[in-house]
Amino acid sequence: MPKYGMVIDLDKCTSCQACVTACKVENNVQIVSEDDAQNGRAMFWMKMLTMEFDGDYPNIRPKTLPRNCMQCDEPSCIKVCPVRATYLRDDGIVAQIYPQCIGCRYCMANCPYTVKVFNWDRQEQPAEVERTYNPDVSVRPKGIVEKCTFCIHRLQTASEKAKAEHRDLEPGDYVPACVEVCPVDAISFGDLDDRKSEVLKASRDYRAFGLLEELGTVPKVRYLNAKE
Amino acid sequence: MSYQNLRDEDEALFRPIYETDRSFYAVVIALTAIFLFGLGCYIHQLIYGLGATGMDEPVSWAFYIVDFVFFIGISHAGTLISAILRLSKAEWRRPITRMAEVITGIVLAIGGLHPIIDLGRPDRILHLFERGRLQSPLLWDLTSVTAYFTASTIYLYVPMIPDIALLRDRGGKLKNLYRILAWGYKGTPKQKHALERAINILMVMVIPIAISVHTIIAWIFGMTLQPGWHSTIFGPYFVVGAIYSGIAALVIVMLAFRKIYHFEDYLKEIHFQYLGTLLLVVALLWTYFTFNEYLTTFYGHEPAEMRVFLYKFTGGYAPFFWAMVFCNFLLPVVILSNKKLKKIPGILIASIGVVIGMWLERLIIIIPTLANPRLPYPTGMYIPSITEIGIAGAATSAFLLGFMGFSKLFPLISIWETKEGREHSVHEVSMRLREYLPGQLDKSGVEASVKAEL
Amino acid sequence: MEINRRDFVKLLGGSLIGFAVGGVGDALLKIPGAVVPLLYKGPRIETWKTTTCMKCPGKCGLRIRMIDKFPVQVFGNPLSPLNNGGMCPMGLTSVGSLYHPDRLTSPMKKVNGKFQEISYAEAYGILASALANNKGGNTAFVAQTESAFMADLIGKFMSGLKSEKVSIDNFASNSVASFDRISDGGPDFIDFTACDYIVNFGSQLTEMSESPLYFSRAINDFRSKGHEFASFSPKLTPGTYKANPWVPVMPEYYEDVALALAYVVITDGSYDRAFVQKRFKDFDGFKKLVTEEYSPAAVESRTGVPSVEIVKIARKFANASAPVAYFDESILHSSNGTRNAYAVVALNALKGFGGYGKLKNQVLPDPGNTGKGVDPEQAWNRNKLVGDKDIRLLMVYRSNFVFNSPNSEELKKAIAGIRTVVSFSPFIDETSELADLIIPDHDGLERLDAFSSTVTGSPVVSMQQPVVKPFYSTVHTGDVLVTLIGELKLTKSWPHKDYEDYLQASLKPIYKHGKGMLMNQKKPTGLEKSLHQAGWQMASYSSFDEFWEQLLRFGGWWDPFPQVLKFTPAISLTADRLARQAGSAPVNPAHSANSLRMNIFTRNLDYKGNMLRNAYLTEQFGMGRDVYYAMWIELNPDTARNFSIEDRSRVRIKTSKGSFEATAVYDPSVVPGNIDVPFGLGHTASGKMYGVNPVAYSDEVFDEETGSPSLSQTTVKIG
Repeated sequence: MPKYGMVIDLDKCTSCQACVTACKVENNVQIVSEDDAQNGRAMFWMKMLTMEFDGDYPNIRPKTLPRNCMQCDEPSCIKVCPVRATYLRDDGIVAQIYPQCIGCRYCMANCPYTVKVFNWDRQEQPAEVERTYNPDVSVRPKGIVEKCTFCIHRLQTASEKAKAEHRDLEPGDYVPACVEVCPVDAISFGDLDDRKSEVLKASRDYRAFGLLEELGTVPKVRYLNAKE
Repeated sequence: MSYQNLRDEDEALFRPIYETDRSFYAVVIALTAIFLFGLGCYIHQLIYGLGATGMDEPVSWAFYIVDFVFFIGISHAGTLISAILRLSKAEWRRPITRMAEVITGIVLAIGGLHPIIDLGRPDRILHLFERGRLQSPLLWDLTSVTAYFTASTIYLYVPMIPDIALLRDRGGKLKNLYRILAWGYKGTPKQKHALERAINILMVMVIPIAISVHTIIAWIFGMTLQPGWHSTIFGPYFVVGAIYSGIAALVIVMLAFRKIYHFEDYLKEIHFQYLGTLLLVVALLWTYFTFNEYLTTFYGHEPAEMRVFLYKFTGGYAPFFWAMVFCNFLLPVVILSNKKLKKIPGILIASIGVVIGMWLERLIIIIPTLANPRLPYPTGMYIPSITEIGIAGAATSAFLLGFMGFSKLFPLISIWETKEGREHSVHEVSMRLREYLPGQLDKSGVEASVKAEL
Repeated sequence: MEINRRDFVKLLGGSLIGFAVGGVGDALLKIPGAVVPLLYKGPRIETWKTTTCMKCPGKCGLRIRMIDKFPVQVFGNPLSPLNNGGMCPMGLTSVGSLYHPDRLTSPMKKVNGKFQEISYAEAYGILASALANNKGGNTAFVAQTESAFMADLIGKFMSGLKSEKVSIDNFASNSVASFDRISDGGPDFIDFTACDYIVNFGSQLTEMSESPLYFSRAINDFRSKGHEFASFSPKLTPGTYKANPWVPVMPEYYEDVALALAYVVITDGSYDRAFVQKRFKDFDGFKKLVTEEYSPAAVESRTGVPSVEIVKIARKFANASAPVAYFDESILHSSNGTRNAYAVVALNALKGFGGYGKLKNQVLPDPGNTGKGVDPEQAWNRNKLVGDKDIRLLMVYRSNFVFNSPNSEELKKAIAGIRTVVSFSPFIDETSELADLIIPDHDGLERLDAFSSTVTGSPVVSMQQPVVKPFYSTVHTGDVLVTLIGELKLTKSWPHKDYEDYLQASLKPIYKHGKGMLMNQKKPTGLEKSLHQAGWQMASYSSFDEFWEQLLRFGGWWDPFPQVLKFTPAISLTADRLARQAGSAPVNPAHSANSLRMNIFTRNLDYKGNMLRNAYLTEQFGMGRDVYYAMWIELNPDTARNFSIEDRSRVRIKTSKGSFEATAVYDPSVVPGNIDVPFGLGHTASGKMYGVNPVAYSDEVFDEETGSPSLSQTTVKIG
């Protein structure tokens, strides 16, 4: 069984936000109304975060990083879910079962990374957005929690395809949308159990770190610090 | 025991059931209006989703959960206090226990509904039973709140049976209801014995349940990894807070109904002074816990914790925090430790202060933590919407309506216990007292000496 | 989603008629938008087509994901040498404009101030008769196109009309025009294989440049080799995060800084003497000017840029074997924009343009063709619309210059005075709403076009193909122009019947010389590479028709192993072109106690105001600042405290043209004394207006020669 993980190289990342857009488009994440967005309800599974500013003006640089779901190996969200609407798959993906979610938002309150987003209400989407929905992903109703799933629908499609071709899933068959579109290949994705995989090598780099690792959540999304 | 005698002595306690004046209806209409408005708000929320509230990212729990914790806290007024007083054979409890238990029953029902109001998909509530995960503190909570509700309702009902029997015997309205509820209680020694045994068992059982309820509610927060929540002290801290707000709410309710139904003869100033002393003790205990909680946070100085800490002490929630300190510590401690101020008006002010302060405390525990996530998101903000305020208003008016409704069906002060106190306890207490005193040999000796005196 | 009964009946009827007429496709377009997702219950057959993005000058190759023959998603074409499969937010959401409900569905004519739908025949008639009556100086054309082929066609059309009043807003040509004017041609690309130091003057290389995605990758590779790039810019944007060092410089001082660098290189004597002697015509005059007026100390006192930094960067520049001083269109956004560019070109000349490359035997049209050889003083730009009484016919192609210009009020007045204004915009925008006639162009996914690029060091032709049949009665503007040239006999012989024909003729040279390859495989390596270099070709086509078909199928052609020349132009720059004329000192907003300087910055989500009507980008625009659908300004906390402005408070910014409200956001990287204002919001022509357009509030300061608006020379008060 593979264990999927991701490493984001902050040295390569240009903060272009393509991953943010790709995620929204790929997963039919709702565009909320103006009022909702201004009240802090904008929905992004992938978000550009400014962690801190390093240095003093003018030798100052913001440390920005794209933040999606960390796909923890010890996820705090799963522990507290009362109905198993979110669960850890054998392949390491923290998946969501949308029809199961009762919308108690306990997982949101317990996620140290604040990655979960809630469908506070269902706004009518602009016509052109509705027409360009990705047919592989369900549109979530109001009142439930959602988050990045490593584009799990792509895994399904890829494994079905591999099965139809009577072969095993190969590295590169399945990558999430953010990985696919990144213009500088800053995001590597793959099987952390595969000793030859690029992602495993990257995750063991001396520059590698995990967000809030000290909490013991064992995030499977790791970052590579910018080179000095 | 002759029931005819009771009619003369404690007629005042029956009066609210049979006599209703116009102002009562006016209040009922006003409260119903508030309740219906809140109901309308909820229906609006059902249709349009939780977007109707002021919650957002990252403040994803707010008013409803605050009210939930607060109401469940109030519910400790009752059962826990009444059980502890009964258990410790505090004789002054007799006019208090019934009201305390009623508060528990009603408030628990209302508080218990709040998490459901808070659900994004209340239509899927049955998933909790079909696919519930016992690993989740929410399921523990579901279990303990329902258990507590069951236990405290029974604990309210069982000691009420003799009174219901009295009402049945008086005849008049709702005779059939009373007949069913009285369970054929006739006051025979066997029945009395069984009743007392039942009360004793319930009394012992209900205490751990009550403590577990609030501990588990505290665990909902304490089990998370969030700064400001992840604390071992939270269980007892919440229980103390619950008892604190419970006593204060009890005092307010008692004073209100004392005034409305003219129970001055039954609820004397001494009762309130005793309750005031209890309130003072719990106030100090609460302060001790609060001090513990914040001192360790401050001394540890962990960045994420400090962000929440400073948000409470100097940041956006500072007004609420310091208001809480005033309401929960300064005001009650100053009033209740001063003999001149510790009169009924003073105690009432202190109690109102504590109820407000405890609500603020729940607010301060829940929102600042959510508003200050660990990663550098901008500080969240939260302003309740009309929907949330409407539902909070509806919850409060539902409580009052429930209490008023109860007062029209059953006596608010336990008649048989008052009677029992009058008939037996004077003797029993003086006997018990002598037993404590030096020089007395044993029980039989005491009995003999009492007899001799009489 | 709600469908009422009537819609449903219509849907039923619509699809029945659709089936009857032939194909569900057409029927789909006549049914209410809310119903379309229902029809996705169809066979759900997924197909992919390649095309090219036209949202910015990047020309990225796209793969369009189509479900039941309708485009739903866009991904990058991994075989395109420009973007290598990468995408940017603009490209990712580009499929939305195809379905946008605000799209113009047919030609529109303004009658009594309101637009009415008319037939194409009628619209064409109006345009043709207007053209028949107006020629020469009576006609003007303002266009924004990244396609050199389209730009060429417009140039031919206007020269046929004998009018010089043509302005083509084209990032690439705007960037190289300065080279063209003082040297015999511009470089084709930065030669990243040779280049080892880059000094960047204001270009947002990875965000908004000639090819943001190519540069993102190239700069990363460049850095991974241990090379550095220094950046001078008025704001620390993501493109400069990786610069070492970033030196905050306001755009009007680029000239001073570039010449101060030149001063150090000259006085150190580390310049390329051989090149300068041979190719720099007026080097002595230049040297005299620089040594007299541009010592680092003098520049520091004028501009506040630390001389230490200047000397440090200059020495690195001088010691590099192949340094590049880079600039692009953004350098022009200042009162002395063109002089800035000249100064940077001259700086490059000192090192013999070491880091630049030029392609041998270029067969592609030059994107900087228009205005070539024209004296800058005589070159026409859109600002000259103001006060030009001769113009009676104005044509506007995809340019929304009214939105992008600080003098929008005057432009509006000027346009109102023109008898016939024809727009080819597919949407109603701030400019096209002023038109008398709109002949909407196709959407990017319905168009046929080709884009050429040389930024990668290889000639690349990216094909844009109609992924779907046009939904509405829109017309390819290229077709209109080709037909007009033929029918009005604007040139002697005009064999082309439509744009496709014209494009095929333009691309025939590529087919003929037979080099390069289609975008159907990765860059060859090993044996295959040697074979390629030796001249072996493995063409999969035997006729031009086959070549054309495959060109469209694979999305383009490129030559992975071109012959690269060193760029050695003759510099005809004279010192007086650089010397400041009396009275034209840079507009330098005073830093007084109660005023600040407004610096308008662009983000990679908006290219020249085209974010209008893109729901995704509009939502995401302020994400980094957590300001949504609203205006914000960024300012240094120190500055803010002087004005007692709190973080995230609402402030009012007053300029000479009025005032607007915005949320103040602290950012310690903002130049003290500046407020940074994002450009892209504030469209008035869309249904709902979010934020404000800061350009409309800025002072009317333009580059003297090109007319580019200055974006950072406005004094504002805050309160």
